[in-house]
Amino acid sequence: MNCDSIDLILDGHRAPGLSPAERQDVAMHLSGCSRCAGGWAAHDALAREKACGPPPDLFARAMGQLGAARAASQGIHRRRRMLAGTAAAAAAIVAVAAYVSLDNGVGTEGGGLTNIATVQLAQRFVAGRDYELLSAATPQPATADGVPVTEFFMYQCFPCYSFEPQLERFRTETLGRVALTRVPAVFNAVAELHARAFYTAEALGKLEAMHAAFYDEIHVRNNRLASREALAEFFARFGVDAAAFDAAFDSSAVDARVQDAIALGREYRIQATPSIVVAGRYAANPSMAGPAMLEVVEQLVADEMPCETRCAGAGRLRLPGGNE
Amino acid sequence: MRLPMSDSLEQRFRNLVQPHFAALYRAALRLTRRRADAEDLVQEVCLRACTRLDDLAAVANPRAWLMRALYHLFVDSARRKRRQAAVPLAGTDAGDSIASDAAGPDLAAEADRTHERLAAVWHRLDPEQRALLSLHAEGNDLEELAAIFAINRNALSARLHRARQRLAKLLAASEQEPALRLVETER
Repeated sequence: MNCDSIDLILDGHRAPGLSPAERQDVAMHLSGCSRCAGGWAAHDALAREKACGPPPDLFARAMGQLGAARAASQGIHRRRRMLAGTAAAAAAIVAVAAYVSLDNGVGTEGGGLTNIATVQLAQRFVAGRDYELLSAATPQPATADGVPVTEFFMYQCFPCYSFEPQLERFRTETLGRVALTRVPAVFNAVAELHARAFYTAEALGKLEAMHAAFYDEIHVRNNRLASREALAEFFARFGVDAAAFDAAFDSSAVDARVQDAIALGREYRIQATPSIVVAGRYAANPSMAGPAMLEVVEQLVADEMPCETRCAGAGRLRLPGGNE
Repeated sequence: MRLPMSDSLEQRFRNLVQPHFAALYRAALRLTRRRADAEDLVQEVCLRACTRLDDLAAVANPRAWLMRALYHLFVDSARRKRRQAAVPLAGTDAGDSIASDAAGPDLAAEADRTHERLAAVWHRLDPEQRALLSLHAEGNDLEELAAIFAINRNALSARLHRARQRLAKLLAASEQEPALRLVETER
């Protein structure tokens, strides 16, 4: 028995099938060879651990997420209008509550039923389980534009790409209630390059045209845009010549925006994308909230809205035809 | 928010992934040593498989393809979380997910100690070393590992040996320096 023989036994998972004589040979070798003794002990420690199987519902959950992701991905091209079932149900609860309360002449404060609906929603999502409390960050109170909501994303992140159509729908449907800002998360060098490109597009007034295209370029056309040259070529397709690209890309203003994004990510302790921060107080991400992340955000936004805004929104929902 | 995939896509996905799903999860659990992280990792693998279902259907060894995806996603994730404290403490969900088959109270207690020692040093290994050791401990032979890691068998054997030696040193150090474990746990 020598060191090579020991390695062959370990590599081939042959230890359990050794004969008594072979075991004795192994024991003799290990007693005099610290290299093999250590390797054997490490192998043995790992081999003794038995990993349990997956939870019974995990495959079904994975299938559910895949369906949502695919539908979201298709939505980028079709832009189909489709309300998420649970969010619609939640909105319906609030609408019915508002309708009934106003009809009952409870008054413009929203009435008991609206509050009951809000309480029912509030009980569904819990801090620490469905979202995180950002106790160390600076709160951002609601303004005239709405409750500040910040999405942290990376262009190279596939879940962010899948999530984008839902977020865009959320943005358009909550205009006036939610002030949505997108902030690039900077977890690596390519993400920093993309963050710089994001703010370059913003500085050049091209962000609206380029944002979705940026995702498509990476995830549909498999062009990673991982170099300055690739980005310059990409910007050129949107009418930005090389000189304008270079000037904006290297500008101190863009540099400051990138540094602000990095600082904000640190302040909010962003560790995954997509993550959404509401009012500087709460952070939601798919690993905590799963596919219900936007429902969690809806609830947190509702909690952060001033009372008079909430009640005014409830009044609008009551009107027939869905328009004011 | 959950929307069904089309029937044909769902069936293809089931046929290709479900037979290997339990093995994927067990490998993910060994890699991450946390149930929630393992679930996330497996779901990421499923997402990748779903977006590249044609690639997966075309390979001769779908299990190796899925394990390779698991490995790459794990390495990416480990890099992102490098600064996170990720050493499981006694009583976390890892303890009831990775269990020993040791019989009897003495052996079980010894297995618990080994498990704790492994948990304390696990994240000091390189992500690739964790992946090698986990997938090997899950019963994959060198041929399967060579396919997963896309390296030849000799190179794989050498890396596996180095990973074992590194783990052995860390385990020995943790046994001799209990203070080191405390620092790791509280970081």
